[in-house]
Amino acid sequence: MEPFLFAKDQLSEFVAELMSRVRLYAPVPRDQELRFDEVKTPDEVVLDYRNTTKPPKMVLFPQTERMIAFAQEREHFNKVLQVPFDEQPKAILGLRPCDARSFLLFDKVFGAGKYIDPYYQARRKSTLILALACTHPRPTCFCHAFGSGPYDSEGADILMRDAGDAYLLEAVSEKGAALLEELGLAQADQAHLQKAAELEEAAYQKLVEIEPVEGIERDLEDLFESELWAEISEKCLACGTCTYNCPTCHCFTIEDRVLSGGGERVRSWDSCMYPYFTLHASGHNPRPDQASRWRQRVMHKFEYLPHNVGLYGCVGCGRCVVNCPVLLDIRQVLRRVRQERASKVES
Amino acid sequence: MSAVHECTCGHRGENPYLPMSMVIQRIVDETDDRTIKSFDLAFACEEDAERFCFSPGQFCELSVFGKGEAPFGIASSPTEKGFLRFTIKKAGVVTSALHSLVPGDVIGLRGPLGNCFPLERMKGKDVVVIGGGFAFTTLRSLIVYLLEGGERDQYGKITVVYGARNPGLLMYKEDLAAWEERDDIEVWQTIDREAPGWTRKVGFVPAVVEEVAPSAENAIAVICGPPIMIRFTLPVMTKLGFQKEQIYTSLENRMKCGIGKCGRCNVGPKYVCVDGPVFSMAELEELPPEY
Repeated sequence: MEPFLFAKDQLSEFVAELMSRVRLYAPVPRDQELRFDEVKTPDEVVLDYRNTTKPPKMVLFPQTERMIAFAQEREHFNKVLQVPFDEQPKAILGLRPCDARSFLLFDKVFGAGKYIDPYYQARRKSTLILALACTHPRPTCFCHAFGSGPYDSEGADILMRDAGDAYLLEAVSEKGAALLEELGLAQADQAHLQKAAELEEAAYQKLVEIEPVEGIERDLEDLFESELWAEISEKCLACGTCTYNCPTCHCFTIEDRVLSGGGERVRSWDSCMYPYFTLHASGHNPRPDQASRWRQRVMHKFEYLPHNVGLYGCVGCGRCVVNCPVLLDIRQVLRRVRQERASKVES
Repeated sequence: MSAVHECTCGHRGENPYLPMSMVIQRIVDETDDRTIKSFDLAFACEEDAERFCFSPGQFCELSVFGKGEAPFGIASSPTEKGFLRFTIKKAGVVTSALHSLVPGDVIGLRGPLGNCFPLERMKGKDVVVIGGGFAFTTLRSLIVYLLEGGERDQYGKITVVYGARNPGLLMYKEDLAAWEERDDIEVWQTIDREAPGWTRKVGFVPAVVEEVAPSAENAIAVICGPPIMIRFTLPVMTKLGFQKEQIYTSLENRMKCGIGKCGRCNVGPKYVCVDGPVFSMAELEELPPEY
């Protein structure tokens, strides 16, 4: 089927149309930054952007989320109140292909296995993903190191492509096809298809050269005791920015809060970069220093996850590279891993 | 907000985070320093009680609503009906809150979680149980299960070595006394230093294990205790002829979800909560020392 199309100057009409059907999330200006948030007015959506500071994972996995509530009888909380799951139809518009692919990892961790995470699963099942192909990959982008690319449609329901003065929309999933059929947009014409192809070609030209990540899990196998981790972590401030801004980081904590008139159990994003993450009540900490925490971050993303669920815990969005206050670069770390492994094999 | 969750039965559906309501029936001080208490819990809902099915070695997440949730091994045996026992040392926020509760109070429980001791593998074999200090909770569950499960003749000789710093810190004193009366289990209690009135073994657990010298032939050993005790007991076991595949232990790591999602209790690629807590020494040898 030929792609559909709408003119860029019709964006707010398109957004309004989506808003009439679903609760819509898209890049909107919030607190002096562009962020994936619920769209309040159709004209606030910004699609002409490189990437957001925070990833769209917050739509399906909120930074802080209420899991259950408690009510009180006599002096203690002793009643459990269920919080309804978020099953309201939603869509995320304009996320980059790297971010769309990040949900595939969430699906493997939260949506599969012996236990299904029902909070995530309810949101995921009720959310359409309208990804926007990336015409301006940044120097920090490395999605192509994973065999992906700025026009990858994996993880999306609909892939949108820039075609100059219009966006082309193509269904990737059945859910996406059903929505496109309902929307009744115009079919894309030859000129726009041509323009989109040119922009796609130009986007691929902008990708920086990078070695493929594939196989890194085998390189990491023997590096648990390596001095490398101390070297890498030396300048790390343990601020956690890399993990909070990561579209695939999904580790969380669960805490109880007491409010006036009730209590609640919430889960919040947590970070392996923090000492408290693994601290026992006895005072013992199996990851006692930043070197062991850095090792965990790298091993989890590039050895344990591929081993356990078949996907890397990284999509190459480059947010950790852009936002690290001491310029630690995960690409450089992976290069060092390769070197370390090579020198180990030689010796 | 949905309707008040009056009774957990039938409402939990597929939500593994939703705790069942448990009523504290009985609280017992296990040690004379009063830092360790056993809590016997009853299900607030009959249907939960019927559905709950566990094996020795498994754990649960207990919660004091408004304070938080933490994992604890189940100290009672599936053969003990009508209650679930947890023996809890006062250490952090949740355990301190638990220690302040009284019978009749309601707490939350999720589980059973994790794997269990290798009960099938133990059939037809001698079982050696070695414990130190506070780490005897799931070992109690195991011993009671082996003795009272109606299949005592399925297992060979059962040898228990249990040590604590002093007599007052040995837990489950009634059980120990009852086991000593039986002729189908051999119990060796030991304390670190001589104490007035103490007539049993004196010395550290590894030394007593060496002296008692349980046979490694056709045997399975389970060792739980402080890391230093385990470290010094393992060479003794090797000397006695135990292979790494014959020795099991139970790990603890900080946990939140207990179901393999929250990402913190891993030892290398394995999660203590879903792949453990019980591991053989052969399995642990393949994993980094991250516990």
